[in-house]
Amino acid sequence: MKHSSIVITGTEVQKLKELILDGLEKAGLQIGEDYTIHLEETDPQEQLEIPKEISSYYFNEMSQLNNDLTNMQRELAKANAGLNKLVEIRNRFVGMAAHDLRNPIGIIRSFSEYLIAEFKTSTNTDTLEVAKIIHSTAIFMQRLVDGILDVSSMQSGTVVLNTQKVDLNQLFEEIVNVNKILAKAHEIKILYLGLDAPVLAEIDHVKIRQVINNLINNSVKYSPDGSTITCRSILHDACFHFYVQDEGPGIAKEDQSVIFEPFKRLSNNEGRQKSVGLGLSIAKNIISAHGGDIWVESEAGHGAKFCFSLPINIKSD
Amino acid sequence: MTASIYHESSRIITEHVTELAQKVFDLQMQQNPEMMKGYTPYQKQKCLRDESHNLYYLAEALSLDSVKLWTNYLSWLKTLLVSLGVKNQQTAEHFQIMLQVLEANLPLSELPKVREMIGIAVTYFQDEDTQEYHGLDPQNPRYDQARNYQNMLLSAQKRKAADYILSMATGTQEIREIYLNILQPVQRDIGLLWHTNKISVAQEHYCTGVTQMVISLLYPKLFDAGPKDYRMISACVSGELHEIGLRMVTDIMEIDGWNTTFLGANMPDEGILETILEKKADLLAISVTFPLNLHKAESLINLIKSDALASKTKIMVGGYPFLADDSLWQKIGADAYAADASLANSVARNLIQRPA
Repeated sequence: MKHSSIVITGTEVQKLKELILDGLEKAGLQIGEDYTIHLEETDPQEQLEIPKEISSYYFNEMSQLNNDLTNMQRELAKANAGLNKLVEIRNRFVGMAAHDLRNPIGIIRSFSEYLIAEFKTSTNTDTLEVAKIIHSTAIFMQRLVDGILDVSSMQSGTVVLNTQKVDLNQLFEEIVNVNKILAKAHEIKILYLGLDAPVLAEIDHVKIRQVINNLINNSVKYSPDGSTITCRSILHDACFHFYVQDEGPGIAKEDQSVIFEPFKRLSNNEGRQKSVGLGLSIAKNIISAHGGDIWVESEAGHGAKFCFSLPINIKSD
Repeated sequence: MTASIYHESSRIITEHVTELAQKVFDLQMQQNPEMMKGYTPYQKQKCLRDESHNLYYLAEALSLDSVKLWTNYLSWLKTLLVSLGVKNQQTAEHFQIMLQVLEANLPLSELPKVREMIGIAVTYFQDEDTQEYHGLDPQNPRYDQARNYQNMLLSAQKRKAADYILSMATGTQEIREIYLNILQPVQRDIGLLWHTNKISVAQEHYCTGVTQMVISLLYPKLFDAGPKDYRMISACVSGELHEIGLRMVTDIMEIDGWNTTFLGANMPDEGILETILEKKADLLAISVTFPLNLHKAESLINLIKSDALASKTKIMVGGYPFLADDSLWQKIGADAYAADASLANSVARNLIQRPA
């Protein structure tokens, strides 16, 4: 019979030996006759020893990786500081340029109003038409410049809120009512579904009015004549929610993520008025400054629903 | 290499360290068989490693002809061994055995210096006095904040510690203060706590890791994209892992108007040289914490000085061994030495603005 041996190495050799002997006995094999067992106890630290050249390779690789990570982190922070500086310079420049343009545009607008009044009684209708074009262009440019000033001041982090306690329900109803009159020209009906009780909250009501006006104006701009726009206030999770829903062409999915960025042109831009492309960006900045959120829900061809929330300490009377 | 008159002894010890350590160990076993009786193979291996360590330190001190470096090591060793319960007399006897081995293996001409060095060690360990741990310096203007931060680290409250530091970091000058009066002294003290066996190595690494994380969280407030007049590269030599001190120095230099690049720990010489040329650096800051890496710093300096383009870059050194012996920076060929992070900017500017 072939004589075999078992070599046990490790840190628990006695325990292993007992287990193996049990097994051999059960199998009817006799130690010393069929098998021999050699025990070799090793130190746990020695067992963990990795050849020097391998550990040195990993050591160098790991420390290099760690260096690269730290270095990248520093360089990223430096690059970020550089970019912030550039954005700050850009905003300051844009703000200054827009501010300097405001006065001459105001003068053009005033003079064009004077010319329109002068030519109204004149038989020269072409001249009146030219004056009207100058006037409407000046108004557009003024809106554009005002928008740029708002955006640049907001992006510089200088959104100053003059908050005071107001009843949101009453304020929103009042704003919607003003817009109802303006929408009538296009036979568009605006509905307001308010809350039953007053809701007091600390907000900058001038800026929030600007947001709601902008959202309703946008809806009017894109709604077909004779359609309905629904505005609604809701209390949800200690937040005040407001939405404006229209029956217009809606907003394509790819546009929804960029619609709040300044000067973004949408793939389906068929509004009845020329847009400066800053209103929604300003609205987002104002709502963010209040600690709220603004978003759009829409499917192309099925209208759009613009919503915002204001996380406020609501006190119901 | 800046050759010292004891260079040959240093070379022999370094080249034959394993063999010499084994001889010391064998002689110790022979003279004191009882002591070594219960040693496991692992403990024996560890003993030989410690033996090699002592020999390497002696070789480094001989190579740089620095008694101060040697006594500084002895002080460090004594604190460590006492905290681990090793008797001073036992260590003194060990150094006597080391001398016997070296007397039989080193050139006769250099033996007087070797005897002097080992004599210092024997006397030092025959004296029972030990360095005591005193904790953070109460004279530190931010003592309370440093103590609070350290307590948070030692009680493993990393988030609380980070928030605590971030709440103070209102501007770059404030961050400078945090580095100099909180992070730097706390990290040094954490090192001492480990050294005196009051905390484990795992705790020490944890505290260092948290401080590294805190530093990263300070970065958005630290870099200001303001104008920078000089470019600086900082690195630890190959094998040197203690990078946190250098990282703090580099960040403070950034606050002080330098455009900095931090290369970090364990950098190969070629990588450092390459970056100097790529960045057209005005200054290279080299950090050495582990004294056995001094000769690596020296060979890196020699490499840079021998390169036609890189040699224009000034070299400033800093770290633990230079504090122990303030003549070492000249011995390894550096252009300047900064004792701590608060002095690095003025030392470096003086160096660069000095006419060639």
